[in-house]
Amino acid sequence: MNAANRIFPWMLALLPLWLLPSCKEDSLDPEGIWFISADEDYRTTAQEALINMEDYDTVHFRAGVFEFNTQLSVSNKTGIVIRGEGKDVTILDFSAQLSGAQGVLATDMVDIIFADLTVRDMAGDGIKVKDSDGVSFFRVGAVYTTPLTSANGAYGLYPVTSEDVLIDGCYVRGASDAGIYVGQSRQVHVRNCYVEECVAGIEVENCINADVYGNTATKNTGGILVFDLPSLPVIKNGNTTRVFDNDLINNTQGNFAPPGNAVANIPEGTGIMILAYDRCEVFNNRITGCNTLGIGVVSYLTLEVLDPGSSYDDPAYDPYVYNINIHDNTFNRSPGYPFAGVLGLTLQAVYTANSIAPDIVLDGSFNASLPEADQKVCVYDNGGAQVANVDAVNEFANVIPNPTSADCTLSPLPETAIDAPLLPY
Amino acid sequence: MPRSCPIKVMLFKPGFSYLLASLLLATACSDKKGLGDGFSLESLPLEQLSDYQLFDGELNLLQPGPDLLPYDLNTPLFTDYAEKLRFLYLPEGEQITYVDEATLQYPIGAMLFKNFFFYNDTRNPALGRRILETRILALHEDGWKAYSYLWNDAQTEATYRVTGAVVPVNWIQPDGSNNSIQYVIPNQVDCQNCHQIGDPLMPLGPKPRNINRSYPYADGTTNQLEKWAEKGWLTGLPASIPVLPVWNDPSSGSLNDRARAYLDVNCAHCHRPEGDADNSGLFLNYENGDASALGLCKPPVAAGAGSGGLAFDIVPGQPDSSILLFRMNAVELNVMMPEAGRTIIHQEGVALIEAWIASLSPEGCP
Repeated sequence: MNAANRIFPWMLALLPLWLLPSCKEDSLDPEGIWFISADEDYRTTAQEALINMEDYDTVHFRAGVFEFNTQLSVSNKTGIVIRGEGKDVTILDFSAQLSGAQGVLATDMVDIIFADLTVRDMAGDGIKVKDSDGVSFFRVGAVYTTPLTSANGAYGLYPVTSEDVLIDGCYVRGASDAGIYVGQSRQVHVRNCYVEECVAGIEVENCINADVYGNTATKNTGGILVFDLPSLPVIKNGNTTRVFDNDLINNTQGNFAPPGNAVANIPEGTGIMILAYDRCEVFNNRITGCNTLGIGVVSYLTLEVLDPGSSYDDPAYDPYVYNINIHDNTFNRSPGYPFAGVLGLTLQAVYTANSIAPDIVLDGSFNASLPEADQKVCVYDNGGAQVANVDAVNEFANVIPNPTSADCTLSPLPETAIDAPLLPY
Repeated sequence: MPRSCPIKVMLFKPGFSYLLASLLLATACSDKKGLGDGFSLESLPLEQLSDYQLFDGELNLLQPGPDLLPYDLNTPLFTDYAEKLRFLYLPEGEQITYVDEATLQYPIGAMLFKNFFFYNDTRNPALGRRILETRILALHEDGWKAYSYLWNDAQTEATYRVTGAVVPVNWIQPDGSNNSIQYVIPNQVDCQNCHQIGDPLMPLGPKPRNINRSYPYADGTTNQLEKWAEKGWLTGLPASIPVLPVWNDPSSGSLNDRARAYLDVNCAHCHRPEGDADNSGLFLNYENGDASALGLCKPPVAAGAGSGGLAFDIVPGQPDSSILLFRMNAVELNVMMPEAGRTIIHQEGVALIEAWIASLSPEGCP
């Protein structure tokens, strides 16, 4: 038996002292908290705690740098907390990692909280949470300190196929795909985060009901992406996402994503891009110096035109955009930025070197088999922002500035309700 | 079936866990199915491998006692060229029921033992071996549970360990060259992540079609499934069931079938609709008949550096353009597949999949 590594005070009264596992007392406290210190054999004790902890226990990493050589993993627990003492003082370092494609992997959890720590220099993704219900990150960092290359891990914070996801006050740097990536999940909030020097700052992909607000994305290739991609099995068609009150600042990092990934097509200088989504409201965002593409609204057809590697075979996937509502955003962009990437170069060809693409670019694709009323892309009250339908699927043959089709309104989307776990302090 | 209550364990291992175990045993043995004379299901995992008392002689001989049957697989999982010895344990009087070519229904109390070792010199097993770990899957009332035992350097005992380990290993390969790796023993969660098919854990290797082969038992060579049936350990065995090809034996199946067998065993524990990689939409299980889900001209999902700059998982006729082969042929942690279970490249497996992709037609993707 390997039971009884976790002890409550009342148990102590029942057991003679010699029966206590001798090596564990300093890892425990009376409230089910497993303390891990940097001066112990933490590679073993941390993973042991993650396995042996009971529901509603906490694993608490003290301040310090913890150098792990394997992935940490946890699964099938309810109500647990994995926390440090601050994202600047509790560092889980994976630069010597020998196994595992993530720093931390959590699967099949109910109500898990990560808080107040940073994972650093993982071989792959930072913290991946899969197939879980109730996932919260508070003040968590995921950092690749290495130069910005395609060898960096893809995702910093990576909840996927989960429900009730809250990412609050987190920091990510250096991911070769998306710093914060929420995929195939429902009921999602990403708020108050700061993401820099990633390919995509924040990406919501094939989700249903997500709010992304109060974040700052700067020095990424693209700031915030709302993407719906084909050939994903769990959620085929993402819908209903609000992106508001975010600061998109100078997202001008050259794209360093490994080719073959969807984000490798994002041109540097992108603020917000909506791809193939249904029901998306983008409002009150401040877009500064994202000079290639302030806000882009594109169907997957455009991606296929620009990147032959994007073809797919998925009859259940709908590549078009529907019900996109863009209002009350402010833009501060300027011409002259060196365009890059296929989409960037194509825009440059249309809007010559000393000019600038409009603040809001619509690709103009249209699903002829569905009523026009269901596929509005409405653009209004954006403080004089320029809009264009660039006719991307016809290789930009018929660009329409200030298209009347965008002169419409849509009802606001409701706030996304979530039931993610909160810290008791 | 009557059985004696366990007392043996308590006699020579007076420790906390054994006292606790014995308390459990005292209440459990009257109405639970037995595992034999030494222990009950509730006492698992026992602290030491020797506590199971299922092996004869020195433990490191891995000589099965009367309650164990060795078995082998047509196509095994690659784990850094580790050799494996597998054993099946059934509680006395219990039977496995054949369900279909991919499924056996085991009785409560069944255990599978898988021992991982390296010969010091693969050219001459007589020069000794180093056993690294023994993994046990045990079927409890509430499902399979995975226990991992780490062998000591003296090779006298293996001890239960939930956290896994990294163990340096050296050995001489068939070509006479030395190889040296950091062998990674998975932790308990890693075990679950591979063995969890949908919700419950499941054994992965011992599917009827993969066990359907002969084995050189002490009393003669015979088909494993027939042996189990003959011994009364297996019921419902049809007269004829499919055989999973031996991945590296061309006489056992076509290139396509051997490649699919290899992918099934090495990838499909995650890459199946109920597996851990379901979000990728890439399904490499033997049963999958959907070409796109099998990866043909399918763009990668969440692949990161794993894409290798390539556009599709498999490009028919073009192995060098296929992400699947690129990831099998890599050791970088954010590129290689499978993510767990190996640290070096399975050259022969790569060659098989390379030949298979080259054989697929029509060539190319739209």
